[in-house]
Parts: sequence; structure tokens; C-alpha cells
Amino acid sequence: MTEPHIIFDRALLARRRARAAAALNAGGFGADFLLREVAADFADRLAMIKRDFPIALDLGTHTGAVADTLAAAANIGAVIRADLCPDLVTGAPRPALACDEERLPFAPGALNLVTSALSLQWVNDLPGALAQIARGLAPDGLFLAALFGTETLRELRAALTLAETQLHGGASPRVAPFIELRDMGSLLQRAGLALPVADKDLIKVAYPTMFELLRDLRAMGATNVLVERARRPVTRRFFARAAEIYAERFARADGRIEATFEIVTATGWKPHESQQKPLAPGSARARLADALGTTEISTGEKAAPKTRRD
Amino acid sequence: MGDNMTGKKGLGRVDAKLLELLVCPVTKTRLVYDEAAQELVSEAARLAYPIRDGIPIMLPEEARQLPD
Repeated sequence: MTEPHIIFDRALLARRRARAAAALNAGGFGADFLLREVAADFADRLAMIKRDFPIALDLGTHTGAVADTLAAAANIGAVIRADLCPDLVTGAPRPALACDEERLPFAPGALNLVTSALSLQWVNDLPGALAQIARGLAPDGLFLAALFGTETLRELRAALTLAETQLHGGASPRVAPFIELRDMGSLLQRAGLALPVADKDLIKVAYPTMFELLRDLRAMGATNVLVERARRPVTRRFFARAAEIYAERFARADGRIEATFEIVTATGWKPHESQQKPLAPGSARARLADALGTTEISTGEKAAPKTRRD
Repeated sequence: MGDNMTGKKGLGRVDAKLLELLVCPVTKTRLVYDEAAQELVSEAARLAYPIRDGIPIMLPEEARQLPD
């Protein structure tokens, strides 16, 4: 196996999340609205599943919005809160721990439910992280995840790229590459999770200017953690130009700018014999021909034209 | 699950049931709980993971290297 390509600076990500934690602990201003949106959606989805989950893990718990939802659900027992950033779980209800999605510390089959809201998009080795999650799940355990999809922050990406091209004659990556919906199902399957389902939801958020959007992203701990991000110091002029471009191109009728967030939600189950699966070939107990009221023609003697001569 | 898994009790102490679920994140092998030192020791990885305020810090970069 080759080493996965290192795209994200995980140490920097931990620091960004710590800074976000400090901002939120200092009173916050509700910048975790996306996380709360996902938490409400998770609650709806889990309410549809008539099953008990004795031990749940909320991976990348951040403000704990999802974990709080899980803790309130009648069919969920213990909720373990985990985050890459120790500061984010210090004040959290117990049990809690600090861990890295890329190096999970759970025994095989230890968990019945793993949730992950808006954190797996920062993982360098997503197939590896998913395989470790699958390994930690007990048979019939559920994985429920929400990740930022490809449309996320497309306006910001365009504005920053254009501003950088105009001012510096070149562009460097400033917004992370996000997951394609169509890749999610096969990734789950590759990780050994059955019955994979993925869907997406677009959330449009209005801001007075680009600067309020950036402030929210900072509060989410979601600013640029790309390893290949430009090391060139970013000037005030650069941001001013980008904000102008953003306002010119992506303003709504009321003059506010619009930011798109695409949320890809995916579920997969740890295989268990009770789950639906295709029957083995030849195991049918009734003849298809009987059901169709026709005569069965065996594969040896194919339906041939009437003119056939032997 | 035990009382501590309700998340309401024992804020300063590590949850005993949680410890049963954990393995070394590097080697995926068993951990030994050193209560006095408040560490989870992975003999296989030669690392001791700290427990701070009852929270296991399962990050190799935060762990103490054990002498050989």
C-alpha cells in the first residue's frame, strides 16, 4: 500500500479547532449553526430506526451538538464524545476522549453507533478512517456521517482565486477539496459497510459581506488547513479585492452575499446475518416460469428461430 | 452500562467502562491502566497516553515515550 497523499495539516487543524473552542466557550455567537442543523437531521434519521444502540460514539464532536441529540434519544445508551482537539472535550459531559479519526483507539466491535458531523472532510486518508470506524462497530452497528460536499463554499473559492490571480498572477489552494456524493457509497462499501446510502442537501446562507462569512468559518475551526496553502502573507488588499469580487458576483437581490454549503449525509451498516442480502444463485424455491405462467426454457436449448434445421 | 457512562457522574475520574473499549491507536493492542500515573500504557507501541481530568488523550503526539 502506498502512503496516502497528505493534503491536510492535522496539527494545524487541531489548533484551529482549539481556537474555535475558545471562541465558543467565550460566549460564542452561534457559528455552529451548520452543526446544529446536522444534529437535528441526525435526530430525525435515528428516530426512524427502531433499534437500540447501547454504546454510541460521536466522532469529531466539536461543540457537542450531535452528542447532545444522541444523549436525548430514548434508544441510545452511553454517548462517548471524541474530538481531535482535547480542549473541545475538556468541559464536555463524560465519557469523553481526545482521538484522531485517522488513528482510532477503539477495540473491534466496541461500538453500536458512530456519528461524525462535518469533520471527516478534513481527514487525509478517508478510506482508512472509514475502515477503522467499520472495525470499531459491532455487527449490525450503524455509521451515520455528514461531510461537506463539493459545492461547499464555491462562491468563496471563485472570489479568492480570481482575486489572487489578479493581484499575484497565480492561485494557490485556499478552500479544501470536498467529497463527491457519488464516491461516498463506494467508499463505505470498500470500508466493509453494508447497505450504503448517501444523499446531499444544499444550504444557502446570507451574509452582509465576505468578512462575516470568514468570521463564521474561523469560529467553526474551518479555515484553511491545506498543507499546500500559500505561505505568502495574505494582505489586506487581497481580502478587500476578494470581498469586492464576491459582492459583484454572488450578491442576492437584497444586496447580501450568498454562501453555499453542500452537506453529504451517508449511512452504512456493519454486516450482520439479519440484514437483507441477495440469495445465493440456485437457491430459489419457486420457479419464475410458474409465477409468469409460461414455459421454462433451459439455458442449454436457447429459443431458436423457427427455420432452424438440425 | 455503569453509572459513569451516563455522563453525569465522576467528572474528574476516567470512566471505567470507557477504558474497556479502548486500544492503542497505533498498534490496536491492549492498554494497561496505570491509575497512579493516570496513564494508559501501550507496551507494543512503547507509549503512555495521558488521562487529563478523566479524559484519555489518545494522541500519539501527546503520549510519553517509554524508555526501552
